[in-house]
Formats: sequence, structure tokens, C-alpha cells
Amino acid sequence: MTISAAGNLSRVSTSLRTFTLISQLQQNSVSLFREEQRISTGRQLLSAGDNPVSAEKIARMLRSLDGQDQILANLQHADSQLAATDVAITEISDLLNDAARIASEQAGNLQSAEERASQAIIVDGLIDQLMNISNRTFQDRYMFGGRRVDEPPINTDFGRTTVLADQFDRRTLVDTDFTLPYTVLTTDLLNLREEVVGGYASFDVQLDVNGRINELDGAISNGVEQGVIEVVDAGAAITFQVDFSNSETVGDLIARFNDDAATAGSTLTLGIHPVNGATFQITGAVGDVQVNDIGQGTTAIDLGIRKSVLGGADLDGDNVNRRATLTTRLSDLQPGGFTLPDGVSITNGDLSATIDFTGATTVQDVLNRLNGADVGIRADITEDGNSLFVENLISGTPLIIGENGGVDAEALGIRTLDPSVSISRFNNGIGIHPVAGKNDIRITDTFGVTFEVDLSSVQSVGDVISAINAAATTAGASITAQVSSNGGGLALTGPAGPNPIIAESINLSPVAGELGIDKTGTPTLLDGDIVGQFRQTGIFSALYRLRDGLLADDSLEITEAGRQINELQPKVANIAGKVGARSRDMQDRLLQTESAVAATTTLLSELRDVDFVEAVTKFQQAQTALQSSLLTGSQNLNLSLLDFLR
Amino acid sequence: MGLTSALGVGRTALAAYQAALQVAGQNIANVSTPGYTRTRADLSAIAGQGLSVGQVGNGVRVTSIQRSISETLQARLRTAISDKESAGVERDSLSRIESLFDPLGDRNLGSLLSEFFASLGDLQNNPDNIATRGIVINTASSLAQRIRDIRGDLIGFRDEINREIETITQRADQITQQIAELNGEITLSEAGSGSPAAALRDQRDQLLGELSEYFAISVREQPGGAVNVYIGNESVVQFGTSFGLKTETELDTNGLSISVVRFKLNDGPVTAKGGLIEGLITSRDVHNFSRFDELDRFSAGLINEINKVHSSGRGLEEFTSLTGLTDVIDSSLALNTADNGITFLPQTGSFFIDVKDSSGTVVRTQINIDLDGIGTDTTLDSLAADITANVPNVTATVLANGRFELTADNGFTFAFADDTSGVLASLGLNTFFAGESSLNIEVNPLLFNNSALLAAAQSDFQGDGSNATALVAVQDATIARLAGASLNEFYNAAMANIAVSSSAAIGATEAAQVIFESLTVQRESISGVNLDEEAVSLISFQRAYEGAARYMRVVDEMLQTLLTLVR
Repeated sequence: MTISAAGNLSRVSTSLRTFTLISQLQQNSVSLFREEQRISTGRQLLSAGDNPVSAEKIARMLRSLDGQDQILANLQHADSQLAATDVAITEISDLLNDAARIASEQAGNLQSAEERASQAIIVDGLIDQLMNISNRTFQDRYMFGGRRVDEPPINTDFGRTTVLADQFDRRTLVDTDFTLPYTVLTTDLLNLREEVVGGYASFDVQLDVNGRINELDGAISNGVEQGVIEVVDAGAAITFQVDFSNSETVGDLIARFNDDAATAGSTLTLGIHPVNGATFQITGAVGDVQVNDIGQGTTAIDLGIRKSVLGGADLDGDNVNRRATLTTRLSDLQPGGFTLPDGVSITNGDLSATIDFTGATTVQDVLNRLNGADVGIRADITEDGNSLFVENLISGTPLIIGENGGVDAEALGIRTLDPSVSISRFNNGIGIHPVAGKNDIRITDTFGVTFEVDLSSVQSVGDVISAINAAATTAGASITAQVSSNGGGLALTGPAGPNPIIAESINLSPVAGELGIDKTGTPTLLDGDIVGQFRQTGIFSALYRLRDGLLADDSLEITEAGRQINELQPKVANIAGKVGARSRDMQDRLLQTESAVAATTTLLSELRDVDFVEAVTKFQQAQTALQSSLLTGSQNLNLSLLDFLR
Repeated sequence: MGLTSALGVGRTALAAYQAALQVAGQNIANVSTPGYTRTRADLSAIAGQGLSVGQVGNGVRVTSIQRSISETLQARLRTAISDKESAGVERDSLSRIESLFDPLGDRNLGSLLSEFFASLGDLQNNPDNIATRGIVINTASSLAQRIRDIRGDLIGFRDEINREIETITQRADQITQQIAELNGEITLSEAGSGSPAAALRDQRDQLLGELSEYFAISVREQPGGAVNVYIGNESVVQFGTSFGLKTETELDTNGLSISVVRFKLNDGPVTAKGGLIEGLITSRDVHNFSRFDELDRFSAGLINEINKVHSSGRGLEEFTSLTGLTDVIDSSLALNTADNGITFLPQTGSFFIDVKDSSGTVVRTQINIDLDGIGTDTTLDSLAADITANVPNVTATVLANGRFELTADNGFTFAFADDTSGVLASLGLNTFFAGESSLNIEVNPLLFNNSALLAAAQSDFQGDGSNATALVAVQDATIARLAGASLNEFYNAAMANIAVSSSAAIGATEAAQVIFESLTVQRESISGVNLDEEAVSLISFQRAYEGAARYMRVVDEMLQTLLTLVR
């Protein structure tokens, strides 16, 4: 700072000299002090006001570095867990190789029962090893239990290994708003969840005024955007808008529409379609009605009401595809109501239960009854919210879910067999073996009408049923094939008559037996054997099958177990690959984040840290300026005419 | 002209130069007196008698002693002083505020905020770890403590400013009294002597200069020498009367205590447009309040956003009973009614209550919160009735103090999930923070007593850190209360505001200082004493005095000569 008027002065008073000298000395001292502070603190800025732009950047970078440090910690945590997981998977792979070798060696007919029994002991050891690996802990938490870290994911409470693990991964933030899983679930590790029972229903869930909007998949399966729609009520010559942005439930949507319509003077009313119950309906029109989205909005189309009707007709919306949730009322699962009067029957190995749904009012009530049956299953809602499904938590045991005198299991979509089930699941994964180019089964109805069925091209249970029913129709036989009420096989039914229904193999085809219907029934029913039990897939089941096959000296089972093990090996390799990829991703992110931290630190240093060369130079300049001021000031102030007066 | 007359000429000269020497001496004596205005003796010849050959004067006299001063420059200087003082106090205030927040420091509010979110980050990885939970609670407590401390410091600073305003106003009141008194003395003195009462005027200028440090004033000199002094358009001194200044303590629109400057005469408010008072008021009502407001908004945003996420999560334990922290005034009013005890108003939405029995079976119930203003909106009473009626084995009650209480039947526990209405946070149920602002932010005492209640999960699995992840995400989530900024963005913007304000104040102070110094230089150039000049004057007047004395001796000798002739 300099005194700007000094150059235009015509007179300099003594006090002016003093004033300017003091000012100058103060400025010099301040400059010297600032440089001294910069040097001693090592900081470029002594206060934020020195350079607001830099100060703001520094503050932002400090926050950014804090965030990056946390991301680094997360990545390191995740990477260490994945590294431990990788070791476990390698051990599982080695273990599977041993099992596959045993299965291969014992599959032939040359081995004695004693030799196989001794090998079964080794397989038991492999099962124990696998259980130990599955229940391994890392940092005092079970590695493969998902979010259930405090209990072993596998136990043997039901005699065989039973999965208790959670179904969801543990995740960590790897970016400010992005998480990645860093655990491998037991079900994935051991290939347990490749198949489940159920998911066969297709609920047409009815709208409920208390139901959340976020339960709606929307008319175009894109959810429901809660924006603004435009309604043209041509009959009343009124156009109004409805803003759904603050609505939570279907009832809120309806209330908002009707309130805004009434406010605008329109007679239009939004409600739930009284017949189908799954769509919205606009009534009360006296003329044409058109509903539009505004701009790029999709609210109207999501609600299924972006359409127009003429001449006072009701505007019927499209199905908004409400998903079933835990709180969904059972009565809303289909139009006209949904009841479960009879219950279901469940058998899982030696465990069995009949589930009574009396008093259940919500989906969660049904799930609680199923899960509380203590038969080693876990029931849940399918991801699309249209059905239930059941997992068999016990390794290797056959699970059968059937009816208890009604159709409740079918209605819930959890009956073991459904027309959509692949026929390859039959007979513990062995499937059926039709004779090429020839008929496989001969069926005789109660009236003696006989027909033959060629099942060489069937893929699913539904194909089998269709083939039998089509052949019966062609032959004029009174036979209807269907899934048996026990849920685990097929049944042939017919009207009352003089003779029993008979099904038999022909052309040396094993299919009738493989379908469980190679037998004679009653005149109205041939209830097939249970051949479609569901067994948990995965490594434990395969090892149990191998052990049981060895103990039973059953070459076919040993062979099948070997086949299962061989099929599992690439899947384990796949899991290993996924873990490796995840680990690689984590490491890449780790490197990127470390680089980002280094770059930010460098930038921060440039902004925050003092340039010592510059600071020392400025310090010297300030020191010199102060010395000069002191020197010139002292000399000037000493000069006075009074000194010459004698 | 006779010799006697000639002696009279010498006598006038001796008297005039003696007076001139005194003036120079006065100047030399006050060479270092602040605000002193040098004076100058104006000499003029005394007209004499007319002779046939012309006119011979009767000597010399001091016609006046003038102050070397520019009143225009004085007025500008007073304005510059006001601006300098105002800018200076703002700069100092901002510097102090900056030190409270310490935006460039390593242990400031921002770093504590980061530590808090970092601890939540650790919690997402170790949700079942009691030590990690303790760290989260302690870092949050430190953060809350720092917020409260800063608020306390800001309030304390406001109080200091108020006290300073009071002290300065008292002094300004004294000054206006003194100026009014000096007005009277100057008028009296100058009316008698006909010359400016330099010393009195210097005193008054000094007081006006000091007054301009406190307020921007305008000064209008009246005939007779008195000055009227104005603050803004209001007169504070008129001739010999001071209208007086005082302070009164009032509450501003935010309920904060402020000292207001008023005229004693009519209680009218004083509108300070410069000087220390304006700088202090700006420091208090703009800089201090802005930081205060930002801290409050930041705290409210932190509390509500964290609480909204936390209240939908679960700890390692579930509740058997729970009492909210919010005292609702009227439980029959809609939950989004303002000024009803609920600071963070909920909106239309819903939440779930999961009730677990001793076997682990969970029953989930959806509770809707209807606050769309259509039909009947949800009240605290209706919410309690809804829960009691529809949630099995849980009873909800509105307590006498307006708090909401949930109690599970024996053998049952409950937890919350997915609250889209924010009502749980509004009522203080399962919240992380207690309080509403920087005044009372603290970690919910329930968590302090039992860290297992820290809701890191969104399920009842011990290893579920998903809610902790959601809590971490709060730091970068946009918050309507903060005008769409995130907590981090808002904090950074607040620090930037401090930096910019501080920088602007530094710049304004430097500019005002330059102007002040420039004007001071000009003033000192005109009014300041130069010892060399005064030395020259001394020599000159001394020589003139010696000449007059010699002249007197010559006239005396002439008289002696004449008297000798008579003998």
C-alpha cells in the first residue's frame, strides 16, 4: 500500500513525515510478519480471505480427500475379504476334483461294496471339509453367510447340511454413490440356488387404496413416475392438470385426481376398475375425455390412462401390474378374491408338515406359516411379485409340495410340479428316456378305450400332459392327464366306469415307469408315483448322492453323482472367475483411488503449501524494505533547520 | 509625525512580532499534537496620517490568527474515517468468525463431519462391531459438540458486539454533549474577539473526528461558528443542544438479542451509515447472523436427513418400547401443522412396523401418513389409533407431554422400515440425533446408553450394514432444506462465503485505509506544522523584533539628541 496523494503535495509538514513513516513502517512490519508466518506454518494462505478461490478449493479438496480415504478403506476391506474367498474357492475346487476322481473310479462295476463303503468314508470327510470351508470366518465373521455373520451358514440340524445363510450380499461403497458386493453367498458358492420350487403362479394383484404406488410395475412395466398429467374433459370444456408428485398410495392418487377435477369443475372421477380391479378407470364423463402426459412425463402412460374415449364413455386404464409384497392382502391376489381353504402338504426327506392357512390375511402370513413349518424350507415372493417360491434348504433330500385336498399349492405357485417344469428334473435329475420313433406308453381308460402316446419330443411336464391328453382325445378315450395332487407326479383321471385306468410301457420304453404311471389305478384315478421330487442342487447334494451311492453300492447313482460333480466343476470355476473379477475390479478401483488421492494431494499441496523459495525471497524483500524505511525515516526526521539555529 | 509617534510605530512592531513569535511557538509546541491545525499570524500595516508628501503608517499589527485548514477536506476526512472504521471492524469480525470455523484448518467442522461419515463408512463394513458403533457415536458427539460450541461462540460474539455498541454509543453521547458545549463557547469567544477561536475549534474538530469514527456524520457550520451535526438525515447536535444517543436491548425477528441505537430525545432509531457502529451492526446482523443461519440450516439438514435414514433402519436390538423425542403441542392437529412442536414436518407417505414374536416370526404392517390436505389428514392421535388398531401386539400412545410412545406386548419386539413420510424422524422415533438446530443438536441419548440401537441395518441380520451405507450417502445427497445442496456442498459453500466476505472486507479496509491516508496526507500538508517553516518564521519574526527594537533605540537616541539641544 502506498500513499497515493504524496506525489501531488506542495508542502510537507513534520507531522506528515511522521505519519507517512509510521504508515510505511506498519506496512513493512505487516508484510514481514505475513511472510514470517507463511514460512513458519508452511502454508500459502494464512486466512481464507487471502484468496477465497484457493480457500474454497482447499476446503473442497480436503473433503474430497476424506471421502477418498474412506473409499480406500472400503476397497481394502472388500479386497481382503475377496482374497480370503478366493482361497476358499480354490480349496472347494480341489475338493471337487477329489470327489470327481472317486466317482470316476467307483462308477464301474469292478469295485466291491466294501471298497465303495471305504470310499464313502472319504466322501464323508470331503463333506466335513466343505462344511468347514462354508462356515469359515474372516475377521470373526462368517464369510459366506451374507448379512448373517454371527451364525454359521451351514448346520446339520436336520441330519444333513442345511443352509441358514442370508440371501443378500454384503456391500460396500466403492464410490460416493455406488456400492459393490464383496461377499460370496453360500448359495452361490455351493451352487445351491440354481433351481427353486415354485414361482409358477401369476397373481393378478388387485389395486388397494392403501397400497403403495411403488408396488406398481406400471402399465409399461417401468414403474410409475409421479409427475403431472393433463386431463381434457371435452364434455365440460375443461382441461386441468393433476400433480401426483406427493402421493404415496393408490388412494392418494385417486383423492388427488378427484379433488383437482372437482376444483376445476369437472365431473370426472378416478377410481379402481370395479370388475378387473387391476386398472384405473375414469368415469363421469359427459363427452370426450383425453388424458395426456406433459412434456416428457410418463405418469399417465405408467398409470395406464394415457388414452382417450369418446362420447361420455368410461376410460378404462391398462393393467398397472401391482406386485405382491409382504403386506399385500391375500384377497387382492386375484380378481374376485383369493382363498386358501385347504392348505398344502410338504414333505422334505423325513420331515413333513401340513400347512394350514386359516386366519392368514396377508402374503406374509402365508410365508410365515410355510417358513415356520420347520421342514427345512424357505418360502418367499418371486422377484417379479407374481408368485411365491420355495427353496429346499437341506442338501440332497427330496422335497415335495402338494395339495392338502384342494388347490392351494397350485394357487400359490409352489406345487412341486408344474406344467412348466422341465422333465429332466424327474427321477433325481435323470429325466425320462423315450424310445425314438416309437410310442412309449399305452393307456386304457375305464371303458377299455386304449391309446398310445409318443413322448420322444417332450421337454416339460406340460408337454407330457398335453401329449397324453391329445392322444386321448384323438382316440376318444376318457382320460385327462394332470399333475397329481401330491405335487410330485402325474395323475390320470377319468369318469366313473367299470374298469380301472391302466398305463403301461410299450416298445421296451422305460418312460411309463420313469413318469411313475406304469401301474393300474381305479376307474377314476391313476395316481402316479412321486418321481418329480425337488432336490437342492449343488455340491453338498452331489457329495451326499455320491456317498449314498457308494454306501448303497449303486453304480447308477455313483455315475449320476459323478455327472453332477462334473457339471459343478465349471460352475465353481465360474464363481472363482467372478470372485477374481470382483477382486480385480476392487484392485483397479484401489489403484484409481490411490492415484486420485495422490493427484488431489498434489493439487492441494500446490494450493495450500507455501513455495519456500518465493516466501523466503519475499521475506528478504520485506526485511530490506523495513530496513530502508527505518534508515530513511530516522535520517529524515533528524534533519531540521532548528539544528542550525545557534 | 513626531518622535513620540515614531516610538509608537516601534511599539506596535514589538507587540506584533512578539505575538507572531508566540504563534510560531504554539505551532512548534503542537508539532506532534494529533489533529492540531497550524495557525498563522496575519500582519498588516497600521495606516498613518497623511502628510503633504504622502502617508506614513503607524506601524504594524496582527490583524488575525488564522487556522490553516480546509473544511471541505476535513469533511471528506471524517467520511474516510467512518469508512475506515466500519470496514476495519467488519474485517476484524470476519477474521474472528473465520477463526471459529477455521476453514483451512485440519480440525475444523468439515473435518469432523468427514470423520463422522468415515466412521459410518467403517460401520457399513463392520456393522456388528460394538467398538465401531462406539466410534460412530463418539465422532457424532464431537461433531454435535463442535456445532454447539461454534454456535455458542457466535452468540458470545454477538453479545460482545452488542456490548461494544453500547459502550461506543455512550462515548458518542458524551462527544455530542461536548460538541454542543464547545459550540456555545466558540460562538461566545468569536463574537467577542472577532477572530476564530482556534484552540476551541481544534478541540471540536478532534471530537468531530472521533465521532466520525463511530458514525458517518455530516457537519454544517452555522454563522457565529457553531456546527450542526447530523447522522444520516437526523440531527444529533444543533447549536448548543445535543439530542443524545442511547442503546436499548431488543429482540430481532429471529429472537436474538440486539442492542439498538436510538436518539435520547425522541427514541427514534439511529440509522448508522458508516463508522464503527455500522461496522458492528453489519458484523452482527449480516456476517455473524449469516454464519449463524448457515450453521443452523446445516445442523437442521444434518439432523433431519440422518434421522430420516436412521429411523428406517434397525440396530442389533429391536424395541420393546420407544418414546419419541418431540413434544407435540396439539395432538389433534394434522402432523404437518406448523408451530405445533414439530420442527421437521412430515409429508404424505408411509412406513412399516415389523413386529417379531419370541419365535422370530415377523408381521409387517404398513402405516399410511396422509397429509395431502384432502379429506382427513393424519394427526398424532389418529396415528396412535391406527397403530394400536392395526399393528398386532403394539400399542401407541400420546403422552401428556405430547410425545409419542410405542409399547410392545410381552414377548414381542418391533422395528421400523422404509419410512417415506419422514414422520418417524419428525416425532423423534428411532433417531440418531436429538434436537432441531445448532442450539441443541446431540446424539440421541438412547444410543449413548446402548450403541446396539444404532441402526446400521435394514434387516435383522447382524452383518447388514446397508443402512450405514445409506447414512454415508447422506453427505452427498441433495437436501431441499439446503436449497438442493448436499451437506458437503453446503459446508463448502459456507466456507467459501466466509472466505469471500473476509476477502471483500480486507479489500474494503485497504481501500478505506488508502483513502484515509491520502486525505490525511492532504490534511497534514495543509494543516500540519513544519518545524523548518516555523524555524524560518522564528528567525524572521526574531529579526523583525530586533529591527523594531533597534528602531526604538534610534528614535530614543534622536530624542536624547533633541533633549540635549534643550539643555
